[in-house]
Amino acid sequence: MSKENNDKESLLMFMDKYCSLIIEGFRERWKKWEIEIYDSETYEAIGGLLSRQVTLSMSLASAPQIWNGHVAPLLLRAMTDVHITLAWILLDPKERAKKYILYGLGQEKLYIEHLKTEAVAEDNRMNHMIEVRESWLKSQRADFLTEVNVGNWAGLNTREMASEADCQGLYKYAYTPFSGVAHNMWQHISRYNLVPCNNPLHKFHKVADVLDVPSDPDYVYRSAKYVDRSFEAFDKKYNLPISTPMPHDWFVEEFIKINKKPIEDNLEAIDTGT
Amino acid sequence: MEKKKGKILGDHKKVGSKFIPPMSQLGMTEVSYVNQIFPEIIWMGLLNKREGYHTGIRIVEFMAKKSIEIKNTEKFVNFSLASSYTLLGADQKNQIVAELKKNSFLPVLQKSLAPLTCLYERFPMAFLGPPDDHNSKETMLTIIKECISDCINKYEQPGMVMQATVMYIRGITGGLYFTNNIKPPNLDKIITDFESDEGKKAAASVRAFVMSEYMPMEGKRSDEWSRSFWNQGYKIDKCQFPWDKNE
Repeated sequence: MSKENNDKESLLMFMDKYCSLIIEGFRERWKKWEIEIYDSETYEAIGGLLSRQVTLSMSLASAPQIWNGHVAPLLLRAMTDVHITLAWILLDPKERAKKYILYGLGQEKLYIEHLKTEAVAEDNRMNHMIEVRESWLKSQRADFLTEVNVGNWAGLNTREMASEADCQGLYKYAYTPFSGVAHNMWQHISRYNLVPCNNPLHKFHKVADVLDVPSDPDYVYRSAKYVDRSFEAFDKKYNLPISTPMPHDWFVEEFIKINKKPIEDNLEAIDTGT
Repeated sequence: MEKKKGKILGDHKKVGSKFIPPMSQLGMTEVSYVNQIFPEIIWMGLLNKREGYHTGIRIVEFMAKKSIEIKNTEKFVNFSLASSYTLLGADQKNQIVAELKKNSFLPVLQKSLAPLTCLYERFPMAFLGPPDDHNSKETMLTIIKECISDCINKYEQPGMVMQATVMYIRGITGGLYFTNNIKPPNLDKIITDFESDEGKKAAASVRAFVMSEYMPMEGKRSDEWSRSFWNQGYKIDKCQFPWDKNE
């Protein structure tokens, strides 16, 4: 097997181990968390967000073809959003988890209403889908009591939530640049979907093209940092004795064994996709 | 990089959810040097490139003075801007050509402006005619590409000299006034001592002046030639990508 294939193989094995580690970290926390079923929504919201964080990181780690500036920032943006939401809920879990759930139910109710206005009586598939969604909604709250909020679920925007939850750095240096990618804004498009033409007669314009960009495991490293931050926020709140290594420390220590130089030395590390 | 101190965007004004930069707070309209002004003055860049700054400016001055003498309108016209020549009639254009011929400036202008006269349609100064022995298309493309690359940065000397000539022509053909307490910029320094403080100060005044000269407060200037120049440029030569060199 060639050296290049060997390197690829060891990188993929490393990512497999990373995925196992974060699942283990998540499951250990869920197992050790003393759940009070009376307030089950609180645990469902927080546990669900933690699971979401791990799932997104795993999805990224196991798909080397998306470790690039076109796609990886979409997942990283979602992960920063998960962390800000989680950190903000953790400041007042009972109240805020409830708000979070009620907003979600309201959105579902609104979606069902939209579907109903479009559905025709003979469309069995659509009617079945509406039925299933309504039953999911009603299983949690009577729909006549479910409010629809078309504003921010928290009553704050993400910047304000990040500020309250002490995540301003994450908001400024990760959430915001990754948002440019998620919303397909100019600062991303101009770098990733256009090529500069060097002909002076053409005013140095840019030409739209479909570009190959290099694959970079640094994106996974960053996702490990976000899982780490979410685990840390959870651990700080609930003070649980966790024995599974933290994702960030593990990543840094293990990566050097296969790459010879620390992941932080990777020059691509500052690429945010914007 | 030194860490920036103080509040970010401190000099901007918050209006609703927008932070308005200081210059926009004054209600200034943006004029693009590259899009709008550059095609109007690139002819002087070609002249300067071939003849040097002093001869180049002397020829522009000669043409502008002659044009001012024979123009029909009472309104001031800055003949350093190519489109200004569209305001002259056929007889007036013939007169200018005759004057240039008499002073041996015509062949110099024809040779210098050949890339614009021969490669572009509707160049406002095409009435000067092509040179007797013009270069191949490839050579002319190379000349104009080099000239654009040299002059397109409005802060560098070749671009600054073209802009300073716009101000100089306004000065010598009338219509440039300074109040007693404002010292006129020393335009010579832009050529002789570009990097000096005085040169930089003059350059800053010139850049601001050229913006207002292109877009006067009382009216709107047609950007027909500017638009045509860039659009034609796209058609007469193909794109050059960073990786083309390696092919």
